[in-house]
Amino acid sequence: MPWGTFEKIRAALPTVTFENATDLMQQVRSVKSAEEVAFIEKAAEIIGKAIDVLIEHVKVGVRENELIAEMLREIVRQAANRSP
Amino acid sequence: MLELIPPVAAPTRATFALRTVCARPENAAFIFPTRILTSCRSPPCKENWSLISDEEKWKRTEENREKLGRGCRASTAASNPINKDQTWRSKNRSFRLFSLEERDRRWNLLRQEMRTADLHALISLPNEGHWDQFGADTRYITQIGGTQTEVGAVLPAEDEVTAIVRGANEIEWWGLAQDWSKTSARRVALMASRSSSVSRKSTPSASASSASPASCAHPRNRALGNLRKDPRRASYRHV
Repeated sequence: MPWGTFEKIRAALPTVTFENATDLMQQVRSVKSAEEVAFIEKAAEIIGKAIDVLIEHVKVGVRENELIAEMLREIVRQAANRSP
Repeated sequence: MLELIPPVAAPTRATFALRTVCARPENAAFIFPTRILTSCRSPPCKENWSLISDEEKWKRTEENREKLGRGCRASTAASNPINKDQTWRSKNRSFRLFSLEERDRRWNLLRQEMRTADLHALISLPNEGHWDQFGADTRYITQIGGTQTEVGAVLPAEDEVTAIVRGANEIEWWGLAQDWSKTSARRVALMASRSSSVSRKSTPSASASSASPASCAHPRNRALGNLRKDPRRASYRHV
């Protein structure tokens, strides 16, 4: 985390104690709801389709960027965000 | 030399540039418009798009998409096979959204854990070096993120959630792209600094003053205000 930003917040709130809440967030996020599970399954389905597209377009002479473009096209077409 | 050329009767900038070049005297310095390449590729703009209202833009967008058979209205979007999947909500949105029930479930769980840990607020700030990456915690709280959006959030134990994005355009865009902040977030503020997540916990001496939502909101807003004023004062470094 940027130390300068943290210092600014701490200077603005001199009576407040700061703690790392990463574990708290991870604990809450680790328990998935039915809706979240449905989204995860959908995301896996989209990636599966993207891989199918990859396999479909793999041929001798096809460049890697063309394959990636086809995969990303399928991902975006399914209204999903691009992968980081 | 360019000032002598009448700036009229030029349907495009490219045409104007060509006439300018042809009209230059011999041995005159070659002066070439810097934007000629982009102008050549674009048709002449008949109207200033920035002056068109958002309602008019949406109207034209919907009309054009309907002509293409891809309408973005709920009625026409339903014909798109992708939108027949009932997993998603908000069929006419670019982003697939979690429900308000899911939002309440997350916030309630977080606040329950915060009370157990005696935390009064969660401050979640974006990563400073990888656009929207490593921002899952903030996205978990706000459902704002992706598409290289840098977003932060403040989730108080007993107050409304605040999402923080960069720039007025992102405030407007995310106000349309999701609905969690419309009904529950008090404001979507400008963000002027980058950092990662941190939580805060009041000391025993500060617990009394920060116990009520009103007194808790003031120092928080003051802190964000300081960040907005001078975003480059902070010296960034990792810890």
